[in-house]
Amino acid sequence: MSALGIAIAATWASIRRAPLSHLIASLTVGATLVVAAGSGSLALGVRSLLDAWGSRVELTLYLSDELDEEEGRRLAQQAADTVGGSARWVSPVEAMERLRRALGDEEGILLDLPFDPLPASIELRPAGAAGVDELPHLAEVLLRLPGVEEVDWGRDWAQRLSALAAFAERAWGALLAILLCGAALLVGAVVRFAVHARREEIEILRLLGASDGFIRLPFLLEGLFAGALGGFWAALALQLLARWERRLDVALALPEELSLAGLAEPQAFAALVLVGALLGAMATLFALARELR
Amino acid sequence: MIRLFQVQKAYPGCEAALSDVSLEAGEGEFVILWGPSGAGKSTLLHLLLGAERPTQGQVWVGDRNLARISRAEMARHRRRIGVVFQDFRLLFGRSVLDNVSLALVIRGTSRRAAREEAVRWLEELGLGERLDERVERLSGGERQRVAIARALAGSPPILLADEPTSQLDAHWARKAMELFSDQTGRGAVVVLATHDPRFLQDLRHRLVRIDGGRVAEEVAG
Repeated sequence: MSALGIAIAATWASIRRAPLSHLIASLTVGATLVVAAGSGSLALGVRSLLDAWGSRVELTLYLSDELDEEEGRRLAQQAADTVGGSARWVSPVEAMERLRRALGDEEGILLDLPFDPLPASIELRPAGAAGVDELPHLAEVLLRLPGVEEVDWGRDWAQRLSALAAFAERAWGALLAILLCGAALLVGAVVRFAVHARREEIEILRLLGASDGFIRLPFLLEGLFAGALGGFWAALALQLLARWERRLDVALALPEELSLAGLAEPQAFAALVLVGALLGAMATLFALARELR
Repeated sequence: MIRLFQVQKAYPGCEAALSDVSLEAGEGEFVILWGPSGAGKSTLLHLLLGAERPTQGQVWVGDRNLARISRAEMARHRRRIGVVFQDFRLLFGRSVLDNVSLALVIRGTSRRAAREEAVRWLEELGLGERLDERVERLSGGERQRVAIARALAGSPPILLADEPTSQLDAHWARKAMELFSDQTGRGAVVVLATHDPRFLQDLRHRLVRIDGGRVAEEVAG
């Protein structure tokens, strides 16, 4: 029997000796990876949704009353050149006309106004995918242009969403760390249990001159197996979730960015099994370092 | 090849198991440690294997002081030793053949060669028909023969045997002694601990009588 053959036989014997604890360990790894991958995908989705919204956003620059039409149009061109993108000058008359249309049947309330209340403005659409985080900077630059009195870009809710996304990313990071530690501890406990069950055998192997590597290999394989099996469970669960989500999508019309479909791809399946195996192996090595000194 | 200098071994709360023991054995030498139970023979073998450390004194094997070698070196040192433990220390749940071939694999022999050599030694010791039997299903004498086969397999340069014939009948005890003696012919050093007076009749071997943890008498072979 070769060293690897002996290790595989010992691993198999250990799994057969305590199948339930191996199953629980693999399910814990699987649940951890489902939550980690699902919440990670969601956090990334929220971020890309915000970035997509940022690229579609339109900034409105309200201009000073002192600017005439020609100066307004020139300023629109200057604003477009400054940040890149396209800009259009909107006259007070056009703005009033839009307001009237927006008010519909209640446009009568505007008839008694003694003057035209709306200033001229510039509607600016930045070129490329300006993320939501870049908008405050753009607004600041535009506000410095002579004749621009105010820049409106939906500051409040964009900032709130950005903060929410940052919080979601931080919360995901913390959750991931906690879950990974928990799963690693459980895999480590299963390995420690296996070490205790084979304590006498390990002692004999040592007396016969077995190297540390020879003794550790079966346990490492055991951890790898539990982790990879956990990754397999996670990949399977995410496949089912993605299928369920596709059905829900018809009813809820969820944005594409929040979809779990990417996690059901074959590459994601393989990655989850690999990450699970690595998690199992690392937890095992950590447990063995403490247990087999 | 083997040197013990003024070795003492004491366990907490107990009388010293060994006191001021000095002993040397060179290539091709067969040393019988003889003495009553509890005399310290097993402790001496454990010190040579590196399974225990002396409280005082030094144990040298070749040019290495066992107290000053790393874990990896200790594993290498043990791979050069064939050992028969008093309680056999076989791996339960494994076959007779696996128990012997595993020791060879640990020493770096290939799987196929290990199985071939293990079969040869097991047949030599009358276990050719029981190769696939699990060791826990064997009698005490059969287990002891498996332990002897495991120690001899690979022809290690050092052989340590602790009461290796305690459960063997006269035929297999004689056979085992012949096999150990044969090893000295190729330069191996054999250290055998026993309390069986039958061993005293063989005047070819060097006899070291141990009593109360001390070397009481030495008779050259």
